[in-house]
Amino acid sequence: MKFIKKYMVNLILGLGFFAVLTIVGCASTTNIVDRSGAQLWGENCARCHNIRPPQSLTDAQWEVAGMHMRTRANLSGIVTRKIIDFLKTAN
Amino acid sequence: MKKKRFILFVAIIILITFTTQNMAQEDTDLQSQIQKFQSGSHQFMVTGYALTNFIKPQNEPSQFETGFNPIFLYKANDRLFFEAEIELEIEDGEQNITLEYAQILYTLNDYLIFGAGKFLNPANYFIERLHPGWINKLPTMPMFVGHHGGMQAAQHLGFQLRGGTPIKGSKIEYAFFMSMGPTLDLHDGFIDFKNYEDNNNNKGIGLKFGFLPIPELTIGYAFENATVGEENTQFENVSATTHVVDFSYAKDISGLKGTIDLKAQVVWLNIDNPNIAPLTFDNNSNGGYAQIAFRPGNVDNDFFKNLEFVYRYDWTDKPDDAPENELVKRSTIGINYWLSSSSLFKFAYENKDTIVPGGSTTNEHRFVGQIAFGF
Repeated sequence: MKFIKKYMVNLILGLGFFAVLTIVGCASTTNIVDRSGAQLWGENCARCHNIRPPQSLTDAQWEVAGMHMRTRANLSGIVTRKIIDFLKTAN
Repeated sequence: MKKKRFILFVAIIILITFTTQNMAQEDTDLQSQIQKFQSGSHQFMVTGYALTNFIKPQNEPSQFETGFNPIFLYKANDRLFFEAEIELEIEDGEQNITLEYAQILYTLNDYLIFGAGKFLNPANYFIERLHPGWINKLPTMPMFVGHHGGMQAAQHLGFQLRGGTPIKGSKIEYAFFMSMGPTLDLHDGFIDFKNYEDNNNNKGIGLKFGFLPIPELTIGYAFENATVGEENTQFENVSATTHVVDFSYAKDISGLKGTIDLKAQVVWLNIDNPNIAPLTFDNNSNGGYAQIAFRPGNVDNDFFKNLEFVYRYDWTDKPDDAPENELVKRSTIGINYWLSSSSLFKFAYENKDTIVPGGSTTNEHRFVGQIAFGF
């Protein structure tokens, strides 16, 4: 019984998972690669922590920090470059 | 006399002119050297975080703890990168120095990065993304994270391939890794994740997949498998498999005048039952946490906009017949006060129940305060 109960719970969780993905996936907005650096900066950084002001680092430091965060947050190359370009412009 | 004065005057003028020219030349040389350094492709940066805790357990003396984690980042060019973090801490009455991670990274293309060394476990969302003191919203970590008796590794020693790909308005993330894998402890049946010397030729593998249908939402699944038994023993075929589900949602909600942040992670750890004493039980464990935080960052009041309210429930459930069988459930409520975007005070109260075989429950509670600073 315990075995069946465990797998029933997993099955319900799995179906719920795919239902959520389907619903929210359909509601997706602008293509990510078409978004501005400012928008991508807000979306990607705020997912885990408070966003740091562009002025908090120099242009050269943003280049290094950007590469570090690209790895950590699995950002694609184009998204990383757009965020770094925005931070350097706003700096 | 006048002639001598004139010669002295001319000599001084020549000396001053020569020295000034030399200084100007040195100045130009120095400037060009600085410019050469600034325009070079090699860039180095030190960042990191620091924290200090105050802990007051129920029936034990209160303690202070402190820690400092410098992070070294070195960018050689647009593809080659190195990152390392060292943890220096005074905790549980001891001074510890730990290499948290150190890996060489090479960008293969826009969607794939290769890394080798000691790295944060890509399958462990909390550890990889949320554990630094200024990011973690409570002063403590969920209990399923731990080198011994925990459910999931914090770091791996090996290599990884990882990246992310936008697909229209959504995004997928992926990581594959191969590492030393954990080792089996024959005394209690747990596995030890702090493996710096492998006990067999098998290497652990792991896969992480994340889906971000909208920017605010991340849903992830990860799988890890490794042979954990020692080679040439009766336990050499014992393997451990981990399944992990994680969830993250963070959104600024104008109606609430603030940001709501939801995080959760559940881990199922299944270790083979070899049916050889002392490991003659079904060795299945689970653990996880669910957390909600709210910061009214859009209210007008300067004091309230810096407050944040947090609640976390976490648990670990060890196998029913294991020597150290126990179910531990903990609730933590916390209030934070943000001093800047990366520094804050945390005040938390924990209530923990430990249920052992036979059903007896031990209750503990404690206060934990922390100041954390990311730089």
